[in-house]
Amino acid sequence: MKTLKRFSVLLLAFSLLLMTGCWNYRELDNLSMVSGFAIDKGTQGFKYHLTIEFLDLSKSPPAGKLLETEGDTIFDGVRNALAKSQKKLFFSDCKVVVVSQDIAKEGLAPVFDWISRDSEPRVTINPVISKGKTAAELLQQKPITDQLMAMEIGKTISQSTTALSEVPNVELYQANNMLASEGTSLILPAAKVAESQSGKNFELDGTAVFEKDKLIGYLNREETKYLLFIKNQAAGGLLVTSPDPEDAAITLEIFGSQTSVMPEIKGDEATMKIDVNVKTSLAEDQTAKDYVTPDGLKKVEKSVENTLQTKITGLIKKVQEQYGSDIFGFGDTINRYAPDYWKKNQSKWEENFPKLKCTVTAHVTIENSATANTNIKVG
Amino acid sequence: MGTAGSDGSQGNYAALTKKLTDNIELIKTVFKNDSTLVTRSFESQFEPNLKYCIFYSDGMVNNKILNEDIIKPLLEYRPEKKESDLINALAKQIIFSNSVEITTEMEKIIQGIIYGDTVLFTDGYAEALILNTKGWSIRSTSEPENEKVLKGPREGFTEALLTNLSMIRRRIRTPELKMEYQTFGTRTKTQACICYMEDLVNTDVLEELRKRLESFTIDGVLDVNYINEFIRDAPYSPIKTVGETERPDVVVAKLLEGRVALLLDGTPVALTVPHLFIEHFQSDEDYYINFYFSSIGRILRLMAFFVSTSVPALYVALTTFHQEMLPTSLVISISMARQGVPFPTVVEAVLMLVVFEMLRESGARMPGMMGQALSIVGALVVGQAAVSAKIVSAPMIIIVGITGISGLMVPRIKGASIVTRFALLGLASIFGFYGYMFGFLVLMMHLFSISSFGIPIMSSVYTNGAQDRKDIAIRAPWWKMQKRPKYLSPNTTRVSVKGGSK
Repeated sequence: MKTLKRFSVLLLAFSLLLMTGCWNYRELDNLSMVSGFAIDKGTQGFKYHLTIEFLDLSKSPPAGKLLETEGDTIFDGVRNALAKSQKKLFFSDCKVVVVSQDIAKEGLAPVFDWISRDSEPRVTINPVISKGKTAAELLQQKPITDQLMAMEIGKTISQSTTALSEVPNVELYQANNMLASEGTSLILPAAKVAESQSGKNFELDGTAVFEKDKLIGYLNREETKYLLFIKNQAAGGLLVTSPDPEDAAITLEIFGSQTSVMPEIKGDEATMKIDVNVKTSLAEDQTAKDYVTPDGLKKVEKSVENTLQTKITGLIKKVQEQYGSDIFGFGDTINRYAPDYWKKNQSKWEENFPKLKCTVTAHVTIENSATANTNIKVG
Repeated sequence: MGTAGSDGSQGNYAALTKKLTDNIELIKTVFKNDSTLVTRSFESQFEPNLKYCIFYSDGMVNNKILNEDIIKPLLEYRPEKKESDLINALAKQIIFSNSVEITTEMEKIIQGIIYGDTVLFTDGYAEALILNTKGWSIRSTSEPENEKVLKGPREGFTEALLTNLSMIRRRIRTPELKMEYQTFGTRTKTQACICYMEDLVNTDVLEELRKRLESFTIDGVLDVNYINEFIRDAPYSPIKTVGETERPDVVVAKLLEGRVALLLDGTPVALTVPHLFIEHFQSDEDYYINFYFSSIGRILRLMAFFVSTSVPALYVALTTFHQEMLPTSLVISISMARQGVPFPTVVEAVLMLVVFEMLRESGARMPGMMGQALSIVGALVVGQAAVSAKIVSAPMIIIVGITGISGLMVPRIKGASIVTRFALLGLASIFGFYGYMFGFLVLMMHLFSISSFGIPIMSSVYTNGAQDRKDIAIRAPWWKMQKRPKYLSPNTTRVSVKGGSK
């Protein structure tokens, strides 16, 4: 009896070994750590051309190195890389996947499948759309602050939410959620190679707008800022305004913003009420007047509110007319607050969205004027 | 227990006779070839008929007592008339000795001679006197090297049982402290003493201890561990189920908690039972310093056990199975450090851990003045040179360093830590985190399954009642620890504070 008990305990213990899922012994130094990869259209009969940036440990300090490979699917391309490199590519630290415009125009869902399905790449990868000719050209640039170009791109995108707010920070799982949702269309950050005096550089450049999973256009960085206001994602950044059109500009730094989007249903008609509340500080004042007075600040606030209202209204109009794709997520908002109305109109949303009426109100408060209470007096 | 084991050297001796020369011959035959036996025959200055002979073991007696308090009075003794019962008169009136026993038993006489007593034969009498002249040199009391404290009593046990008992008795001045002698070793006849507080002790534990002490015989006991391995629970487990200490204050504290202590002659180590797992982490100093600091120390020690058993296994599991769990920058620096290292991570880990254990062991065993050489070899050759020669990677040195240092933090559980560390490392190197968790669960199951003299060693973890939990990870202030743990003692009132509890 005792032997039987012991045997069954052992059997149970070892049967657990069969249920451990996917793991394997592999030494760190036998892996090539991938920091990011770019997907272009294939050239030699293959569908995809992958440019993979990995960490080259043979150099000190380690730097990024590019490996180019082709394949009929993404995974096929990744595996074909083994014909060129002894070390297996390791995707757990991959931060960025850059997709070329051409691929994006044909649809992203097939491209995202392997990245989302495989166990190594994380769902927090940042997909980026390259506005240039190829996706690879972004990774071919020299990083300015990081060792690896892909890390530079990834960190720039995630940093931008708190201090720039001119590029959407969309991670792979969020992109997949947007793709799956009927009431929100996909947006992704866009980037390009910019010429500057010292040479070429990578630069984030607004938003790529999608209809379903196909790229249909772009928003520039300023428009992206107002898009983020509507999506309640403008956590930082600046608002530049001039209360007096003749005078120089005043810069407000966003300390926090809260946007409420509420649908108002009247019969068969829905109106979106967008209320933007922004807390700012007066961060730069190039004008000759002293605006740090109760009346002066009111004036600045008023001027910014006006700017916000017109810009946001203009952006909505532009998206409705030009793209007709609900990148603001108005459909999901209606679904949340008026599910009955949504159920009735869900099927017609694509034709209803361009006709949707929106009213925008903005409230801006200036809470302080940083460390100065007046501007520099020129004697 | 082996007071009269059949294996002993005692046999049937001839009976003593009234003739002194016969008795002398008899003793000399028993101690044939024993050069330390001293025979001294003398007679009274005034009555040449009063012939005496004393036997003692050289080096075991106090010569001054022997000369001045035994031989001198005998030489100067002048009976006024013929004494009818000389032996009794000697014992009662003549000899200056605190312990005199009249006997005819050869067994007792031989034991006496062996253990520092002096045996006096008188011509014309078949009885012998056993006189207490014990006086051998013992080590003076000093602070135990293994259990140093910054604050608190510095006295440590010595090799002499009586000295040790006196240290305990000095601290507990109530008759409830009971000390029972027992003898171990059929050949060494080593004396031991069981100490307990009569009104606090858990009688089940005491009975169990007595039962187990009677369950074996052994020819000799040189240290309490000889006994420990016979009486302990879970004999194959690396986890201690019997406590060991060299400090009288620790023994007294345990007695006051209702535990039983066993002291053995010839060793400065005392055993205490029952021994719970948490006692590995309780230092006597915890109770002598501020409770905040002692709690911090206690928590650090508990963490150190976890760290020293788990860190190499976790490192190997993370770097060879679950690289995705490491932050990117850490992966970069580890894989950079591993460039060019010829061995797999687990070989590296085992190699360095073994080297560390070697350094530790040689540090403990070698003469003190060679310490400098060891630290140079340890730090420079094994550490720096091995890294720059690319035999091991730098992170591994850090891991082994952390493991070693935290292992030394809880020296009482050292043995168990080492065994657990290598077991977990082996499992982690084959199965990754799964193996580590498997090993950890087995360790937990093992800990929760064993008990010490009927008390589960993890009692302090799953006990009910706030009082029992005030001395585990956190040492509560003394005025809060009002009760003894109820699994240790039936009499739980320890502290009472005037005006109710604070």
